[in-house]
Amino acid sequence: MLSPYRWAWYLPGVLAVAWGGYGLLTAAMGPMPLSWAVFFAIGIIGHDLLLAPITIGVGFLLGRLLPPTLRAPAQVALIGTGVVLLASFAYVQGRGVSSDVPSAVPFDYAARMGALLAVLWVAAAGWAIVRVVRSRRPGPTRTSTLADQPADEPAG
Amino acid sequence: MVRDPQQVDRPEQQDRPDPAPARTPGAAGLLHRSLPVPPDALRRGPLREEAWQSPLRSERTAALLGIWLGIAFAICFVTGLMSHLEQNPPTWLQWPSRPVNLYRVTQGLHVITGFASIPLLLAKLWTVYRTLFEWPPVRSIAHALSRLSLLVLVGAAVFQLVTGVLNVARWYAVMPFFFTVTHYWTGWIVIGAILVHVGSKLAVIRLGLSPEGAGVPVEATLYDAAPADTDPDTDPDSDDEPVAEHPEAPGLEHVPPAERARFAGTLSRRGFLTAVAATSGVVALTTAGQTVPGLSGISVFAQRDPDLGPQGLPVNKSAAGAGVEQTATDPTFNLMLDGPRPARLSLAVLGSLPQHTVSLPITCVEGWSASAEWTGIRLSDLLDMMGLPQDASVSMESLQGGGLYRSSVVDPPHARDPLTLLAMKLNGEPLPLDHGFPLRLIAPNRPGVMQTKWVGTVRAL
Repeated sequence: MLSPYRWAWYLPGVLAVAWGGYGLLTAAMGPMPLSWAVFFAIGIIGHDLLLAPITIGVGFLLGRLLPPTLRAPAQVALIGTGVVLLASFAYVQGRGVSSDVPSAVPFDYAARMGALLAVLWVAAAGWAIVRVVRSRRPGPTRTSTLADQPADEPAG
Repeated sequence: MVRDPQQVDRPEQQDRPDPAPARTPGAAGLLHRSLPVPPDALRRGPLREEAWQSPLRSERTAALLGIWLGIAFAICFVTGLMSHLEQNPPTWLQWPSRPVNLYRVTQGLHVITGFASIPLLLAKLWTVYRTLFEWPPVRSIAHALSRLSLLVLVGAAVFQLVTGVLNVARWYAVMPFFFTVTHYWTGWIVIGAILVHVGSKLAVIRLGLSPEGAGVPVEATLYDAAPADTDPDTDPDSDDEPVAEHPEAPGLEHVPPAERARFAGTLSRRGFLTAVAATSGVVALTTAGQTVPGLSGISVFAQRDPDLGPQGLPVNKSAAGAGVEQTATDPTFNLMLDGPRPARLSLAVLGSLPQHTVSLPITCVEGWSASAEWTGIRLSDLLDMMGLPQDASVSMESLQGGGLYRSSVVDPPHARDPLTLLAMKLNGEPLPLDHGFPLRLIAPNRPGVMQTKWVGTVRAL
């Protein structure tokens, strides 16, 4: 027997999933279950077999190729870069542009994405410089509040 | 400080107030019966335990990210449900017309939160990614079902964010289904899968939030819901060993000394979470300006500039796109009133009726909104002219020949609201063709797709 605590989550959860599945199969403007399933599968495969391995590979290389003082700024810049690319890719593609609705998706999103990434990397570079300078000072120094803390410290 | 991981309470013990003394045979036993373990020779690459060494993949990280993501998805679900109910009201519900900006807030929040969820979901999936390669891959039928439920959760969550972004960017053609319907029903699947996931992970979440959780790496904790009639302390077949079997886990202690240098100078857990939260905030800001006044200058990925469009107001559907350029500009245009007292009103007659000016936003389901001043005839006055009672609903029918949003139903709360107009002017100028000339509906707290443009008929229901 499952505990009542678990049932309190499982029951509405299973009902909601079942309701959603029922709706997908029976909706008046049916979403064509096969095309939905293909899109669904592409999302999982795209993440699990493409995006996640690339992310982990980049992280691995970062730990091998960069000196410790540069790693945290590079991590932050890479996290931000990845998210910005994913959040903006549909805009940058420009497929939503329509000649009869010029006020929709009206900007040069590639240029905006480039500007945002430039700001991000300049900030990360500034942080990296600060860390390098501090690491060269004599005596024990704290290079960052974001990095170099003992990983086993039960912070926060 | 390194805590003794042996002190970590077993989650399954915490969740079982009344442990049964004996095993119960039957379906539960079959579900949890151990399946053969594949030979160790197959345990290669990411299946090896030592393949996963980052100390950031802790239960604390997973729990905090999960909570943030759960809150974000809950906001998206509730606001999405509100939008759905407003557009598809059940018979027992008449959506209120006030507060005026309610839909503007909820739908803006829906899209902003969806974008903010992108880094949260990616970080959460990265943190628990190693569980994809747990060993053995399948321990029992129940274990397989548990993994399958995660497949549903991950797939549906990714589906929602990807389709949401595609829709906001108006890249409709890449989606081989009708977005609105699919996004709505998949939303139920996501929220249900989250509830099931939380239910199955209550103990692990509790552990992750405890002081010990920071040092406990994410392990094969997918399956911590064994039947209460098995005692994980004594049952050799029990799968309930999510965390305590890794007493050497905290921090880098589980990383071979030769590998530890690789993590020097990298983000701490707190740093990682801060970076994820900051990225989430930045992504939110990149899109918030399409609805939040004052932020348009920094919202680089906004779908709209609220001040850009005919007469300084964005358009979602043009007259050319709707195919109404000729019919809407026909000089013989008459508004048809179809009710107990039917009538045909020319533009000259409509212009002679009492005119009112209101300030109301256009709020698109895609999250952007923009305020404007509208001048026109109160819908309530027209309904009185038609001889309709106060509790009557009407249909606004466009000159469009077809399309999903050709008409919309206006229920009494909106129909009788003094702010609801059939507008003839925008910001003091004649209504532009793309904004619905000669007449468009404008009402408070109502999605843009229901603010029918090029209105040709008001029909009593």
